Amino acid sequence: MTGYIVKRLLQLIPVLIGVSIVVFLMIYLIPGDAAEVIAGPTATAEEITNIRIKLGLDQPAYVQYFRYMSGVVRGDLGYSFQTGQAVSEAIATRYVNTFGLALFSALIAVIIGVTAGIISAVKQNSWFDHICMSISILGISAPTFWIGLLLIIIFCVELKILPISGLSGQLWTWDGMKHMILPAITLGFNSSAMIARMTRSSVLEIIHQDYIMTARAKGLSEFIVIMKHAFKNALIPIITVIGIDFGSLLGGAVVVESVFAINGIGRLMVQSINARDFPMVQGTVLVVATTFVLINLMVDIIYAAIDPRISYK
Amino acid sequence: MKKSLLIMLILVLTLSFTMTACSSGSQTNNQQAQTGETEKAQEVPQEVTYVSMTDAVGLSPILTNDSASSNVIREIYETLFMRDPKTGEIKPLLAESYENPDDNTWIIKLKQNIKFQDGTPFTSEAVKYTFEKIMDPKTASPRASLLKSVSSIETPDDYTVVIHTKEPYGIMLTALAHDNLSIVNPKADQNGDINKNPVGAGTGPYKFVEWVPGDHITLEKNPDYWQGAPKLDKVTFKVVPEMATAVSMLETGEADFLVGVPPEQLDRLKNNPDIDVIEMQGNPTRYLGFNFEKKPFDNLKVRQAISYAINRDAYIATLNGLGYKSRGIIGPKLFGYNEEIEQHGYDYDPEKAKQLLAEAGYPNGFKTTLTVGNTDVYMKMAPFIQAQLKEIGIDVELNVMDWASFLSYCKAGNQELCLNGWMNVTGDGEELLYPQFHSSNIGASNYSRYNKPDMDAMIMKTRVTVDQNQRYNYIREANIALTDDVAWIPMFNDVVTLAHRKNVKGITFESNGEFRLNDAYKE
Amino acid sequence: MPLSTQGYRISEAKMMTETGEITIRTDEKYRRKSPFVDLWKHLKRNKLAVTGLAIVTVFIIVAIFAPVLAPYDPYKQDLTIRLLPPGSPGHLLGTDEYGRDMLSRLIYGARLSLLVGFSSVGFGLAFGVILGLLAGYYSTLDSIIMRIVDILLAFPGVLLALAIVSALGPGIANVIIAVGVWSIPTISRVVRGTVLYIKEMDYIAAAKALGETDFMILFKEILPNCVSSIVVYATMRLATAILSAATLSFLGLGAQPPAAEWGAMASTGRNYIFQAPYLTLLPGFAIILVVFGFNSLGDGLRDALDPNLKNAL
Repeated sequence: MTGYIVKRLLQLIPVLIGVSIVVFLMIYLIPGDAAEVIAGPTATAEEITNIRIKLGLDQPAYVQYFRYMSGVVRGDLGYSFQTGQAVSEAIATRYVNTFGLALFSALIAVIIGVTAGIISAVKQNSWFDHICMSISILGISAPTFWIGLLLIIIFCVELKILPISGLSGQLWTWDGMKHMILPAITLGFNSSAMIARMTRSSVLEIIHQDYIMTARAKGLSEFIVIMKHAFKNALIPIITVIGIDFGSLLGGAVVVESVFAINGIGRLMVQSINARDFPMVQGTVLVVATTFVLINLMVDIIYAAIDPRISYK
Repeated sequence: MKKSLLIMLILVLTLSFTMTACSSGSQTNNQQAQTGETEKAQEVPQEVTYVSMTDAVGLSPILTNDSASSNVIREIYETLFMRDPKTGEIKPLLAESYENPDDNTWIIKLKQNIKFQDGTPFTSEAVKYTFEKIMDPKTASPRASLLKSVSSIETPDDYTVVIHTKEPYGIMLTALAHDNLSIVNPKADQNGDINKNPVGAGTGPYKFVEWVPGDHITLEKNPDYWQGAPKLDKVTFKVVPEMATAVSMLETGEADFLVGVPPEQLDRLKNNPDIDVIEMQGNPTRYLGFNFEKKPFDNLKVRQAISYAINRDAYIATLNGLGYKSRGIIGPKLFGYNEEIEQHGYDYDPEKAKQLLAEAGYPNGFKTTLTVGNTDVYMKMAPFIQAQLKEIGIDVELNVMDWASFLSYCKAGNQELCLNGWMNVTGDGEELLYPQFHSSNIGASNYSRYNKPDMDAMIMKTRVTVDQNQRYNYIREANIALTDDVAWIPMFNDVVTLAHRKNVKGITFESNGEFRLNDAYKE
Repeated sequence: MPLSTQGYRISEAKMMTETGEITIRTDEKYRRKSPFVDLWKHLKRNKLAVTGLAIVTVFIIVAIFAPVLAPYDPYKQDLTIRLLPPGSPGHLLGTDEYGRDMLSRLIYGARLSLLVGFSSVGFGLAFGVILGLLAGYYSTLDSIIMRIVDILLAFPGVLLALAIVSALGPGIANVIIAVGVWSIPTISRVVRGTVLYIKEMDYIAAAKALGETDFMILFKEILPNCVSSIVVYATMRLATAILSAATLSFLGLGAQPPAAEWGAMASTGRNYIFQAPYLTLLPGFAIILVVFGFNSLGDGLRDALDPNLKNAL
């Protein structure tokens, strides 16, 4: 197992190098540069040139890349072209926010998804089942920004029961939670729908199997039967969904972050690419990619822990 | 399983009914909120929150050049001169008076007993320090060109600054009123990075407290402000990238004011009893630009034809009152505007357009592309212009790109037609003429690649003439010449808006969309 | 319909290994009932899948016959009748901010949105399938290709699409490429997994023994057997592609105006959410409906073609 983890961690290195090259080429190939954005539309040619020299953008591409990467190797993610802020610092504050958002929405997704999935399975073809499955289909079928705006209008503007802006103060206080609830639901809607469907089908599959019949025959209550046997087996697909979604949540939260004014890493990434702020784009992408790989590794390890049939060499 | 589809449809319908119900139900809700507020009106915390779609880039006037940064900088720092928001005249702020012994010398007397926020006295040394830092190429200040004509700065005593110029610089005072020439405390700048952490860096009414990049900036009252302490204790600049969200926050009271209400949201805000919307004819102008280096736009008749083809009045009517018409390149809110320009320019006349196009040798029209940056205001205009030009046979393909690409594309002169705008910071017509139409700015801000020696000469006169009446006439003449030449097609001028909660009073709002919070308070 | 033939074949291959028979290519399947009939029989039992198929079919018909069905030219502006509410005489679903007929735009929108869906999935398939086949078949290439896929997977999808669109400019064609690239890594993983499984089948060994070239084996033996999983995945991916295009529109990088693409319509319409909510609601519903269609059809196809895929997707 340890050997396996070490091997997977080593594989991270070529992936990150690859990612960094892709980011560099990307920034290099798309038109416009940071100096032009900083100088703005009013700038004279001289002003732009001075800024370019200051940022080192007058150097050949490979020099820029190696200069940056030699910093990264030493643990220095550089400084933002646009604001001069240390990239590591800029990422740290946003990472916490996005991670909190992702965690919170995963939590909501699991609670809603698993509950709905199990009840739907047990009461197969009941009204509850139909309503749950309909909502879950709605959840994976609507554009995120659209759901987010509708939620704001319904819950904040009209009903006035929740604040609009996500994240204010401590996440784990009641106030923080109140701010987080709508963005987390918007973001987690998709995952909860997936989890509900997965749970429902896994539970359905298992519910008719012999050992469950035996358990029932033994006179165990329906609740215990479901929780003890069926749910445990439904865990694997649930963890898969969480693994996949959590990774993409980090990078894909940009829409929710914009709609709910959350200062997160997805928005930082999009802003930086719009500003051609190379060190910032590189830094955010490297961090997001690393998180993605690590989470997948964790998911694989959890698989092995839950299901003894799975083993890694 | 048909049931589940049915249920889904029901859900969708309920959702849409809620939405329609929303528009009618809002009135009562808002009133409730209002009564709720009067009850606790006893001790209103003097704190306001401003929402902006973009975050500041930096907080040093020396290193920034964007309106989100300027909005904050204006509260922390001050300039030597400022334009009076009502009369438009330039009046001294940190300066006391000025004189010109000759066209190349500006002697500026400073006010005494003004202190920076850390207690350091404000003296001529700070002015010299700030300006020399901007002029140093190593600083790479994005607005270094404001002081390009300056040759040296002397400080004969603590309260006198003498600025020598290489050539007469007629717009010195307007330049000195520019936010980016705000005076910086040398001590603060040497001790730390004022672009991120401008503690004690300015002389303005509010002091910097914290900046969480991407989220918010907080300022607090400067109790020792030389014009008297402001009433607000705390001002927060909050970043909310989505306009619909920002408007909703204003409605729920999570935000206190915002600038630049889009036409689509205007009615809703105006109908809200808790919110006031200030509308004011502003100086930002939006235009359809040509690339004079590309055929057939070098042909005056083609440009005239395009101008005749576009029904500006119809477009302005869609702006819900947030745009107004002026036929000239230099609009009514700028120094150098004269009403006579409304006799020039070309009104909607598609027949005449077709005729001119035929005379120019394009009886069947031609194909071209219109380059647009993906900002709402231009994205909305583009399909309209496309449809209008189609009527006279010009087949326009839209070429939309993100803002950074747009800047780079147009600077390089790759576009044929483009949509752009100009917001004048100083309120002086010269600040439009020189960057947009002087040949030395081709490859930079002169996107039109306008290159005519007699226009260059005329523009230079507006820069070097120190006598303001003469300058006025030069700008006026240039405006007529450019408008007759269809240097660009003015689409409309912005009506600038500031929407605020009714209990927030005393915000000074200017025609360039800028605001000052010196006298603001909350009831 | 060759697709279903292949679906048939994979189950046959499994059956044979279970019984331990050694088989060379099975031509006997052609002697049985048409496999299309077989698939239909499976699918017919699943009401949700039939609904999905019906929705998708209706939308395809609407897309094809848009010029006949649409009452007006979807691009014809008339500023005198801006923002008419739904139910206005002559304009059943109202008009938009340029006075264009909403119904006509929604009808033409079916064309563009389905075009974006199909072409981007097609684009993703073209690259993903080849990468997956090569990686699955040649163990020497496997690690290299899978590292590339890892890089693509770890790279935040939104950013990748954003970069592509920034580089090439917004517009339908570039949106298709961006969304297509987004699906390459997952498609290649799905295909690789199936190839790894099929590769071990006896009939492949037999084909090798008979001296068939690698190329023949890959494209004549293995690829046809992957088709069922590809079809299932592609159907689901269509749904995601349409949603992704909407997300790009939200970020300002989707279809260019005046294109009547649902995502772009929902996104620009959101500015009018208070004044004329139907501008964003109607295209939003259209997206939900068609995405629902593809998702439930995909679910049904999965159950009918390849039950083993259930946990993989």
